[in-house]
Amino acid sequence: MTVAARKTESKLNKENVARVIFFVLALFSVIVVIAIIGYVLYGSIPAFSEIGFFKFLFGTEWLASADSYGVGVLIVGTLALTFTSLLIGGILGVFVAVWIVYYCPERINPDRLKTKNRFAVKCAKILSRVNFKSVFSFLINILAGIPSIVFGLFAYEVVMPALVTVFNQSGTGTGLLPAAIILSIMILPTITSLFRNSLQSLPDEYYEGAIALGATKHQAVWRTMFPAARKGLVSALILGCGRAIGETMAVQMIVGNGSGYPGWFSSFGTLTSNIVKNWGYGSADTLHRSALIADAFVLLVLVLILNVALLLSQRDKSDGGRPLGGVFYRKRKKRLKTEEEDPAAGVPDAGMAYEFAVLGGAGAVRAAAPATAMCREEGVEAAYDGVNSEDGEEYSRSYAKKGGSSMAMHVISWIFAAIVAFILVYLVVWVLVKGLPNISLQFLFGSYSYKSPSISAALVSTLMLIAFALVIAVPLGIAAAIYFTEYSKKGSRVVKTIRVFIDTLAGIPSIIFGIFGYVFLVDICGLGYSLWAGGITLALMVLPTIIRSTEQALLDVPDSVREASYALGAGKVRTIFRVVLPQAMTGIITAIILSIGRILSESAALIFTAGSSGNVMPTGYGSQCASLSVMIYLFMSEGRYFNEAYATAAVVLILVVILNIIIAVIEHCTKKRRK
Amino acid sequence: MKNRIKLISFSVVTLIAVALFSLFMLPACGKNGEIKVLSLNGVECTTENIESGEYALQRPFNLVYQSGAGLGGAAETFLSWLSSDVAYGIIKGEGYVISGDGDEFDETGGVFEGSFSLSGSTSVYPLMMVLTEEYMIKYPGVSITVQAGGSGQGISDAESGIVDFGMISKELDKTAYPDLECFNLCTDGIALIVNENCVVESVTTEEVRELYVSLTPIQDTIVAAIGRDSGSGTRSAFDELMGIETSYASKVDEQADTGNVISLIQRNGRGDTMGYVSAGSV
Repeated sequence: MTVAARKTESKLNKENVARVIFFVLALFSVIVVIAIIGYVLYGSIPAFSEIGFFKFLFGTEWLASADSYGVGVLIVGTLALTFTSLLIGGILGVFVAVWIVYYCPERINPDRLKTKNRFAVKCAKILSRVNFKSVFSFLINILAGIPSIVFGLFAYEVVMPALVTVFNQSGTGTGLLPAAIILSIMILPTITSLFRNSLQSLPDEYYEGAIALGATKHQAVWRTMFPAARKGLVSALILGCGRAIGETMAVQMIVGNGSGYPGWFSSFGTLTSNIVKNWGYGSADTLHRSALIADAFVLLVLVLILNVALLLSQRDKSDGGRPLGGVFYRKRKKRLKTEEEDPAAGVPDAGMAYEFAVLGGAGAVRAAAPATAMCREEGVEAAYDGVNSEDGEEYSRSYAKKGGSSMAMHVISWIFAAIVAFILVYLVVWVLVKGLPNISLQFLFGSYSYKSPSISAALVSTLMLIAFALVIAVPLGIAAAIYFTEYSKKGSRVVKTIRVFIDTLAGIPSIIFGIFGYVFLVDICGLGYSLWAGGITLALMVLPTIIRSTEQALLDVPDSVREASYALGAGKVRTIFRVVLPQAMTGIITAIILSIGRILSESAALIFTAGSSGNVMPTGYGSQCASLSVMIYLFMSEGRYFNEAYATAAVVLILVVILNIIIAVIEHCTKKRRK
Repeated sequence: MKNRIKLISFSVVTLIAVALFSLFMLPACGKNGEIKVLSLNGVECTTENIESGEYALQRPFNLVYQSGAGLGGAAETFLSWLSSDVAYGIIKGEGYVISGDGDEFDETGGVFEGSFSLSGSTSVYPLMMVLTEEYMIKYPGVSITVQAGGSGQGISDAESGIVDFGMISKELDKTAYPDLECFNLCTDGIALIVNENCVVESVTTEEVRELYVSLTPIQDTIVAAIGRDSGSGTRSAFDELMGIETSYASKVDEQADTGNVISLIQRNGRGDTMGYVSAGSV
């Protein structure tokens, strides 16, 4: 970096101007976060001052007719729902992550098949072409892209009737249990992909060290690798928790929105469902509206607390304490394998791996010293005994009998993976079975009429929203990423602070973006319900994704390329635009596709900003129009078009699958080229 | 190796077991039924009974708009079209109640170019979709956007000028909103609905009130209830007509949409839950 940079220092020339521009664009996320927090706080001040802060916080009644507002019950509802779903989703997600990394068979070997049955051999041959690991990861990615309302429909149709029957409940089955089950499925992709990253980014030496010491595979996995990735576990759980707290559309359908405290099968409300439910009722400048914004503020504070927790849990990491969103694991593994960026730098060598193995081993701290000695003197076989024996008595025990708990964990991970695989396949097949028969050309491209509704307007508006949001977010995101990777000094305070803000932005629930968009863009800026307002809101939402994935892509460009460019006399700006960016193009394209996926499945923020009218083709960005996901909600809410709702869900699902296939193909090509 | 085979077969068996359970049990659990409309105090919820006023559970559909600024040309023409015989025919055809036959629509002086928007009650929304569509087919120069969001949103959007018309499914409180003008569209009943598996045919006002306020079972059959959110015009009309002055019992669902209520009732195979929705939507 730096010969070129040093030469041009303190001069007002192209290089320095570029530096300043990139810095200012990088600051944009900071401004957005401050604006959102500031606005939400500002909007809630009337409620806090009129009702009283503590009365509002601990009040148990939300009654618009009496102008009496308190979010106490709602906080309890949100926390109960979040922790229950985190419990279910966390356990499932973590086991599935371990299963994907260590137990999932990549390919079946048809030669190992004992039977001579021709059909079986043929089947095995076909199956042997399938990489199960990729297929499973692919399914998890698709799960992450399914719109929230589809989960709500799934709950209505499948989960709630089933639970009511199984638990012999009266009523429709709204309550904590169905909501927690659905929510845990929704947060599972986040937890699984994040924890999988942490596991994959551990140095192979840990695993090899444990095996060399004689641990079985299960012991190596559960007693060495699992504890070594515990930081990743914490951050995965925290980010999953953030997702659960902010989830809106599915939750408001399932929890029932009653006014009571949560019970397994009794209707209750959460902070998010309360906002959606009441937003239309509180006119601007009333206490009710302010109370709703205060509700959003409480939600925002909960999310910020989570962000601080995340920051603290990662503080001593050498990569700048940067929590990574679920989207980047693809590139992360690679980068983290290089020595100096090792996230587990606190554990420098295989010696520590050995310690992990021993400490994790059956209470054999005191076996550590002799085991080390043996390892040096008598080789692996002796060390194995040190790891495996509880009291060091028996020498020639069959290891298959030992490590029962690791073995049990192994079995559990298979069962959980099977359950998740089943849910995933069932969900996808269910949406397609319900939706595909209702799709027709008229439905897709015809003009809307109440007798035969179509989604043509929604298709157009979705495309327009995607285009507009990307036009704003991509340049901003790339500029910020360029500043971080090409200009900033490693570990500088400013950059760390900006990163914190970007992570915060990534963690803000979409409903809060929606409220911010409604009041700031729709109301104050006077854009009205319009694609302008929707597009800007979406751009803010996808900005963190683009920044972080682009950064990843830029970091993957080797420094030698930059140095070669400088050596040929190119300036910094020229190097960035002519050499570095083209090299990082595939990564940037992946980031864009991920953002498109996010926009496609977004609904809560758009209902508040782009409006929910799906019948008229948008004539420009000034017109209001529902996107595809909002259309599902619209069809659903009218009570007349359930078939159309499923059909739209199927269309969105197919688009999500196509996007994921494109990403997979791009990655495949990049890998091939690198080889 | 043996263990591995054991494990794989074990998980495959688990998977198959779960799959079989779900494929055969889940559809059986979610016995979908059609919805059934209950009679109130022995009076059926039909258009005749609503028109004659015998079926007490009814409320007006209104359009509200700012009186001061004056409507745009196209919006004003649309408003006068709503009182025409054509519009009356559509409204009646959709199952809503309106007395009289309407006047003949006078096209002279009307503006048939331009666009305007409506938002508000989810109950009025389906009717308004039909009306605006017929209107736009007849006058292609006009573009109308309609969106649902609840009567509360209709009022606040109309008041702040975000939309031209707010749709509300209740009376407008003139003292609270002096700046808003109100146009009566038609009358709609509120249907009390249960799943067709429910044996109850008729309920009384008293029973319904007790169900919502304290979850007192109706005829030992209906033990749960679904209401609407507090922004809903259907809810406030229902509460007023039923004499419900307090909030609902805490376990009563408060759904945000007509569709959610219908959907939940359809899947309530035991027939033990009651809900209320606009009569025009069932």
